[in-house]
Amino acid sequence: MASTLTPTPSPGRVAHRVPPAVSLEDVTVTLPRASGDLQILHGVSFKVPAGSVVALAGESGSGKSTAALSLMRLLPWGAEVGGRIMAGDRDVAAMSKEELRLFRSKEARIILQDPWSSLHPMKSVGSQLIESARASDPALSKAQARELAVETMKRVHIPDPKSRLKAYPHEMSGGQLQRVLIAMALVARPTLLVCDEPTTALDVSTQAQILELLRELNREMGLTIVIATHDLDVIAGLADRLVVMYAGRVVEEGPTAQVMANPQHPYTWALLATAPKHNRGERMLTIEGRPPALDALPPGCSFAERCEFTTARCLETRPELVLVDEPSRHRTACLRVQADQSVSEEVR
Amino acid sequence: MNILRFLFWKAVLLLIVLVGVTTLMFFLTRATGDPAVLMSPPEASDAVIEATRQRLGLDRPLLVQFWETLVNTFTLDWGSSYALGSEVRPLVMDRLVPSLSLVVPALVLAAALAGVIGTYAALHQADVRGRFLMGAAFVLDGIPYFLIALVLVLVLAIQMGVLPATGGDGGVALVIPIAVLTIQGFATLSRLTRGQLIDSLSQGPVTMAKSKGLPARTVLFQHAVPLALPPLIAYLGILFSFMIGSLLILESMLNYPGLGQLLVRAVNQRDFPIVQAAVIVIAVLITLVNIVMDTIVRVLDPRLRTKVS
Ligand SMILES: Nc1ncnc2c1ncn2[C@@H]1O[C@H](COP(=O)(O)OP(=O)(O)O)[C@@H](O)[C@H]1O
Ligand SMILES: [Mg+2]
Repeated sequence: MASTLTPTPSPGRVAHRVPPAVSLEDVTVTLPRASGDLQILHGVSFKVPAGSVVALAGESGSGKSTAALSLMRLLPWGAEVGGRIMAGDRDVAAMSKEELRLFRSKEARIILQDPWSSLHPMKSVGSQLIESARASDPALSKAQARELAVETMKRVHIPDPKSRLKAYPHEMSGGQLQRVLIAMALVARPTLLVCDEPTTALDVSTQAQILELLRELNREMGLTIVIATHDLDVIAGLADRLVVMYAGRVVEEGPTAQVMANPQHPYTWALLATAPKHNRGERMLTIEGRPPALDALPPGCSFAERCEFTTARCLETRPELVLVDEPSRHRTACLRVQADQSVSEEVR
Repeated sequence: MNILRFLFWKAVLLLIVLVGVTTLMFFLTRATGDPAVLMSPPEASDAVIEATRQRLGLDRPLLVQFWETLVNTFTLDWGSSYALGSEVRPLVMDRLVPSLSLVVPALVLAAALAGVIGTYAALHQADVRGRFLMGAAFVLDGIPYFLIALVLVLVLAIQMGVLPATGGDGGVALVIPIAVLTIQGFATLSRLTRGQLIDSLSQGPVTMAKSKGLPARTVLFQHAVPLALPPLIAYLGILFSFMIGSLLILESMLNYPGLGQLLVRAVNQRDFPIVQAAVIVIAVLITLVNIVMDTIVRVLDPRLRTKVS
């Protein structure tokens, strides 16, 4: 099936086939607001090895979308970004306009969070797919791009793709739109795919299909995938590494299996405990309490007021992200763990 | 098919406007004065007034008169002017073209200027230049159009003497009124354009377009501008009616022979047939222009073309 995505070898494509490792290094993001600036990311660091799948997990509002958008320099107008965002050996923030354009058109594609408001309402789905393919490969003729679009639509299981080309976004269901968005990214044959909640608009069986497709793209084509989600079930079978975010910070990061089997941070533990593994109807996470307001973060640990292990020190000292396991680079930001008490052991 | 149905309903709307305005004018003119008295000489005896009443058919039942007026509206038979005695239709129609030759160029100019300046200001929303332009538009928006007219007359006609203050031949007479209407329309439209565009620039589809690595110009003109356009086009229809409204004072001020001047004069002289005809023509005109704008919006936006159930 993967071969259907490579119908026309064309020049200018080959140079970009090597997927870059992506990394965020101490990234801060501040958005301007009428009522004063709001800092949304407070020093986020994680690495995405080339060819791997990394999941950003956390409740809604934890900064996953912001981190995902910052990777492609797509933050809203006026955003101030600190730290470094690297794609291979290139600094995304330092790219010239043209470099950035080429980076976005050929290498890194993003599937935005809300499928209903991502596609252009006044353009047919086909024209948007064709535009996307030709942005990546200007050598494609319109007919070739259309053919590629149809093949890609087939690939993401859009029924009757030829006739769907003429459809407008408002004529499609959320699940179909989500697939179109995925197809829109795939026609560019990127090496990095950033997906922001790619399965929220989908029913359970479609969800499984899309996740299977992403897995396939990763395994067969070496596509590097960053996937933001609040649904841990999505991650389990797909992600190589898991980055758990809370209130604009990374609180735990490590290999998925290890983090899930042996969560170090009480937030990760709570997240896993409330994940609706067998209860698909109720998909909202329910951890007691709410995340703190971003403009009024406490001086200590942001999770302290919801954590059952909070001590006086937690309220004063902000925990640094430290290694808990050297070989796997499993890291967490919790004072208890740093005092050598694994949370998961104590809970059990 | 869908567009035909749309146009059918717009035609129905036009019909309703025609009947509504005719009805309103019919009763309004009868409520504010007795046409028979007005049509008679100032010191006429009751007998003379009665004779006039019979001559005009004003002695017949109200409903009969109303029906006749309605029929006359549609057959374009609008009677004779009380004051001038001549037929109303050519009187009104002769004024239509001069008025339209003010409003149409002004609307086009205002839209073009507002499009360019509003877009520039949206793209430079934080710079001094963008802010200065919008500050200027804001100030202009606050100045009443007749003051603008006064200033232009003072500067162009009286100070510099390049244009006649009032009247003038051919194209020269158009300059000041078109300038006034253009400035008035530009002030609001440019600010609206900027707002719409800033809004659309932060919307999902535009982020999507950027994320595909499309050139900045493509993102702006093929993705952001179309998103911003529909409300702006709809507003052009409203602006058209504002401009027509401004003509009442503007044409009288500048002694320009248009519908506005005719209407104001007719109201002052209680020349009801002319008032009625002019108001109907203006109402139809405004309705037609708004129908055209609505149709354009509909053609542009597929969401309005297909019914979503
Ligand atoms: N454009 C924006 N303007 C103001 N606040 C924003 C904007 N985008 C996101 N935020 C705020 O930043 C925080 C993180 O948002 P987001 O990155 O979307 O989190 P997530 O994707 O994890 O739900 C939220 O509190 C949200 O309200
Ligand atoms: Mg999000």
